This record gives sequence, C-alpha cells and structure tokens, in this order.
Amino acid sequence: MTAQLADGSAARVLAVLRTFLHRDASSLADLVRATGLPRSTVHRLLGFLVRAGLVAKRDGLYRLGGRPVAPLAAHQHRVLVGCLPELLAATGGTVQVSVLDGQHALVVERLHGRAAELTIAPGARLPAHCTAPGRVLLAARPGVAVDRGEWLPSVTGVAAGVCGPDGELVAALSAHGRAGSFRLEHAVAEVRRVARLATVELAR
Amino acid sequence: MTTPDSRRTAARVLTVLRALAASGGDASCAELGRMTGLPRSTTYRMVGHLREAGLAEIDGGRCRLGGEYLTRLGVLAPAERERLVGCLSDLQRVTRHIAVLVVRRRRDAEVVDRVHDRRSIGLASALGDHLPLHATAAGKVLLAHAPAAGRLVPLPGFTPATITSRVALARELDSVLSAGIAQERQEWQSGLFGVAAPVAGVSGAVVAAMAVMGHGAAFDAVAVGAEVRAAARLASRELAAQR
Repeated sequence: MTAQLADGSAARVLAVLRTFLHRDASSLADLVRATGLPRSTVHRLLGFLVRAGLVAKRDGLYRLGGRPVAPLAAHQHRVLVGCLPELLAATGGTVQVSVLDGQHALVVERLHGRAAELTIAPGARLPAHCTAPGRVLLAARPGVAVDRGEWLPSVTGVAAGVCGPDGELVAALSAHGRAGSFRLEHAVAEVRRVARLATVELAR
Repeated sequence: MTTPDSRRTAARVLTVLRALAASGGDASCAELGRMTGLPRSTTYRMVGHLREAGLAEIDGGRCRLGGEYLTRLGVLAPAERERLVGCLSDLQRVTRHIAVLVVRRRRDAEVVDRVHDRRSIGLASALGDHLPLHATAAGKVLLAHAPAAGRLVPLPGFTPATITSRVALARELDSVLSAGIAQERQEWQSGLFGVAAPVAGVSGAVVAAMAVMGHGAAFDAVAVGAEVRAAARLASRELAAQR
C-alpha cells in the first residue's frame, strides 16, 4: 500500500516534468491543466524539481534547466564577471552583478568564498526598493547606494552602477556582508572603484 | 498523500534521472545504481518510472534518455552549485587563471560556473560555455568517469595535439583515472593549457569536473595541478557533507 502510494508520487513528479517537453515556460495553472493533478500537488512536485535543479522558476513561470536567462550581452557579461574576484577580495563579502528587472534587481552572476555565511544565487530577484543594487538600478545613474539591514536584518549591502559605452546604466556591482564584520566605508570605496574600472573596460 | 515514503520516492526518481543525464544519457541499470548509491531493485523501479513517463528508453539492460530536450536539464542542484562556487572562487584566487565547473552534456561538456578576473576576460570569451569532451582536461575527466557507452563520442581534431584515435583516447582516459587528474596540452586551442580533477557527489559518483585553464607562458601545470586536485577533493567533501 505504502509502496504503491510512493510509486504514484514518482509517476506524478515525472508527469509534471514531462509537460515541459513541448513548451518553453509554463505557469502553475498551465501545469495543473496539462497534468490534471490538484493545484497543491503540482505546487509540491514543482518544489522537488526546483530543488533538484531540473526546473527553474522566474517571473512566476517555470522552465527547464537551472540556467538563468542572460540579460547582458556576452562581452558585457564577461567584463562584469571579471570584476567579481577583485571585489570579493577587497570587501570580504559576497559580490554580485545585477540588472533591473521590473521592480527587482535580477542577480546575473555572483561570487563568494567557501566560508561565506550569506550566499545569493544567480537568478535571485532582490526587491529593488530596499536593496543596494536595486536602488542603484532604479535611480538609473552610476552612483552608490547602501542598504543597512533594510532588506535582511543584520545584512549590509553596497552597490555602484556600471555604464555602457553610450553612458547608459547597464548593471550594478554590489557587495553584501554581515553587519558586524562588514567594513562599510571601505566597501563603499571599493565598490565605487571597481564599478569605475568596469565602466572604463566596457568603453574600450 | 504526502508521506515520507512518497517524498523519498519522488526525490529518488529525480536522483536517477540526474545521474542518467550526468552520464551523458546512456548507462546500464547497474551503473546507475553505482552512481546514485541506491539498491539495485530501487534503481530498476525508478528506471521503470522514467520509461513509463516516456523520458527514457530501456534497451538490453541499458537506459537511454529520450528526447534532445533533456540536454537542457540541470545536473547540479542550486544548493550544490552555491557550495561549489565557493571552492571555485578560492581556486581562481590562488591560481590567478580561469577556474571552471563543468558538467557532462550529451555531446560536450558545459561550463555551469566560471570564475575569472579582469586579465582573463578575453580568454573567458574565447572559451565560451561548451567544451569538447575529448580535447579538454575537464572533458577528459568526465569521459574517464562515464559509463563505457558514454565514452563513445566523436573525436574531431582541433590542433595537431588533439587525440583523435579511440585507442589513444582509451589509454589517456585510463591514465586520467589512475592519476586522479587530467592535463590538457594545446589539444583544443593552440597555446591553451588546462588541468582538471573530478568532483564526486553524495553517492561518491563523479557529477562534475573542476578545471583551471590558462595560456601557455604563465601556466605552471604542476603547481596548478596540485591546487585543482585539492580544490576538487574539498568540493567533493562539501557535497558529501550537505545531507
């Protein structure tokens, strides 16, 4: 009896996965319709698929694979990613490249050391109004923004904007750390310095 | 309806699916059992579910992934990637070259994470996200640990140093297995060198390769090799410790 129920759950989770065969992105409602399973069941099974990295959720839609979309041009992406090790070494926090995505800062890339307490995965969407990268991106100017525990208690964030060759803001570089150990003034100076370097590199 | 048993079974069938994807999409049930650490009878039952769902074909004891769309499956779970990128970051910092985390796709190796500094932006662009299996250090590590059928990949020549014969490749892969590390000496791009080592998942099976790549003049394969080996070992321990 138990084995049968259990095997039913294997069949159901695969049924949900299989619905992605012929479609690019699906909403929860699409998947409920396609599988004929109860909404709560589909939601729970999607949880399995997302945790396993087989399915990713973005903008309320589910799609195959864990790779987040690449909103930056390949060269811009490589330049900004190339700034992360320097920023990580200089601030000792965790560091990110983000772009504006509606009311969110979409984390395109990130870097952290092995001992990092805080990790932010690529594809994460940070609320724009209360995070440092979000504020820089909303302002659409290459300034610096700081978040002192407004997003997550005891997490401090610093971000600076990076401009493309035409002077338009393309992304934010940011560093986040634990409030107690994060040297905020130093981080502000470093994030600003590295963001300027990235802007120069993009103009070349 | 949501019993611990049913949760475990749903997770297990996905574990088998990911192992099958990581093997290059073709493995025997016994190989899948070894890769996942699941008992043979459980592996058979899970493979049966994959077949019934139309995701895999079974043919003479071998299990094959159906449909090219399955090459889009993520092989590493998000939590695993975040653990591994910490190791990768440390590896880049000590070697100052490009550090990559690579998984098997059906016909090539895919870079799932890459760490490079500003000096290496040009090289990172030149490398791209897909590496040939037989001509890169990371690819050779993945081939060496693949089930026998997974070693049968096309062997196009890129440079005079590319291994293009099956016999020579088999010999090379055996030496990769015994050394625990793979070297790349201008076999894909001239001037490009690399070293890679395997990263094992929870069950002990290889799920990814960690590699460092760089241009010849500044590339000390011996020193880099020691760092890559240590980082990959640490990464494997991190994955084993997560559950």
